[in-house]
Amino acid sequence: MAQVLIVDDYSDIRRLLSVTLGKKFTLTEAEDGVGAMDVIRRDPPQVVLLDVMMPGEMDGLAVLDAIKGDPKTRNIQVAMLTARGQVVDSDEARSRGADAYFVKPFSPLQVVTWVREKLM
Amino acid sequence: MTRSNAPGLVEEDHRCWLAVVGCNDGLWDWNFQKEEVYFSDRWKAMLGYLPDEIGSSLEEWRCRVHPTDLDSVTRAIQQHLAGDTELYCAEYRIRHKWGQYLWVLDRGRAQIDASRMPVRMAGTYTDVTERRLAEEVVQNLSEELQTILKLSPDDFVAFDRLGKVKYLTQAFEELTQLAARQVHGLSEEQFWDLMASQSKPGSATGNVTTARNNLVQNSTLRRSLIELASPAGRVLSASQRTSGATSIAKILCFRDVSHETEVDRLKTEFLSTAAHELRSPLASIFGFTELLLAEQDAARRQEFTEIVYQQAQSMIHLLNEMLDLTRIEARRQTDFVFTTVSAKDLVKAVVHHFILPAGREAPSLDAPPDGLFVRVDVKKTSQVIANVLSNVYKYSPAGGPVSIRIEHFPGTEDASELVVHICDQGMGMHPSEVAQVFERFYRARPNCGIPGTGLGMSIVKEIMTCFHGRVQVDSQPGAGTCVALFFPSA
Repeated sequence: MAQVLIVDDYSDIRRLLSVTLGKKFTLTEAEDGVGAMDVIRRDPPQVVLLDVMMPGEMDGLAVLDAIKGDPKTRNIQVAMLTARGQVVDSDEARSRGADAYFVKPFSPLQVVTWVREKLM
Repeated sequence: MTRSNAPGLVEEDHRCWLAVVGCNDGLWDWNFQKEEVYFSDRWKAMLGYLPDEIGSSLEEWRCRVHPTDLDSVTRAIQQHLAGDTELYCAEYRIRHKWGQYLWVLDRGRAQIDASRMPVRMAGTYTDVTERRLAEEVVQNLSEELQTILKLSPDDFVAFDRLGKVKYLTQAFEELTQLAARQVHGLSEEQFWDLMASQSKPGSATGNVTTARNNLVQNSTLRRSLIELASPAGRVLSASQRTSGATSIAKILCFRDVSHETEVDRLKTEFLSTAAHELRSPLASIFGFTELLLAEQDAARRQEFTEIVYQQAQSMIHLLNEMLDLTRIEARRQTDFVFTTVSAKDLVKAVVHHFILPAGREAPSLDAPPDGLFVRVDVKKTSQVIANVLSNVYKYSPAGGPVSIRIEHFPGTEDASELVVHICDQGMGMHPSEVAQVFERFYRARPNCGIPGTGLGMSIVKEIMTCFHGRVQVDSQPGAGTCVALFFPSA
């Protein structure tokens, strides 16, 4: 069971996060919302790093709703990654149940600290 | 007749006499039996004659009536004599002694005997020349005003001092798709209600209520914008002018700002998309440099440094293409240098300079032997072909041949084109992807590791549009893509 699921349509961001976290945690990756839901159903991780703006049927907020809406997955810790830095956007994410909100370009060290906190 | 005291007259007759003399009209009296007409001295004087210069025949009158008017006057007399009209009345022109025509109002009444034969007819003559001229002036002014309203390119509505719509320009009708008759006579309140019914509900750009408030507050800071429901995307900027005049009190002007609004929107969209696109390489650079500062292992440091370098290059490339695109848009034709060149030679030069991806072969070139010429900016056309080639090689990563074919495209009679087809046999695209190919920053397969800014084809389209040409993409998933560049024939 992987500890951390990384979801972002940009391969560069996935790479950054996997390099940051790869030495200490087990990882899986998905490049869109539908792929993320596949992984979660098959083998739910403990932590999800989730990009907000993704093309395809499900964007980040849709995935967040799905995770938090299902009692089986509700306890998965979800951090949103996004280019939108307005207060109104982070408020919206938190009101929908996001456990953290990182604005790109984010500090990978801050992300590591948060993940470690959630998995210890 | 002498003045003031006409002797021998009874009171009523005296009264009539005073009235006639006082109103200064001419008098005539037609005796049918004697076939004689009495013309008063005043009647003769009106026409410029002394009393003894005009006799007593009907001919004296008839020969002086304007030829065009004679028929209608004669008819009016006959109708009255036949009993069709109570009073005789006719307005016509009669010739003055000096040759010019006066307008006269001729009114009278006939006396008919028991056997329905006319015995006598008498009437007055009033000079209405001035009144007729004034009417003509008014008529002309009215026509001039209507012409101005019809021709004016400004779209405005004018309210009279009672606050009702008095005038509007044809341009206004066309702009708002309202007919004049719908608008004439409306009060300002009703007019705004009408405009509200024409506007797009829930528009973010502008609505009637806000526009009106801005106008009332005389705000110069905020524009009063109204978005119409149809035609789609039409946005008007309203302004008003008031005057203290007694006739027209206020004018509401509406300027068509659809184009500016659209341009603003596109600019904002472009800027926010561009900013968004730059964020990702920047996130990598920021992230990896932070990791770099905390990393001790030399191999890892090398790896991170290479990533940062690569991402920085990627950002530079993106910025350059963005600037290129905005430069082309802003300047349009002005910095293009058009020359007539052989299409084949131009393509060959581009292919020669093109850096092929590793392991790939140069594209094959198929062109007719007799030279096909185009009138283009060589540098920009080379950029177009290079961009297309770059895409074509990128989206056929499994390899395969790339071909270029130049041919003449008959098109319509006087608008034949020259076509450059550039084709691969690579992964191809779905119809939905084809539809978005020219959008800024659109990348068909962002996840397959195919690098790119998403601007290459946008630039191609901009340049082809500047050449009055066009570009078409045909593609089938799995079967490859063909990009056709149409240039107008030189």
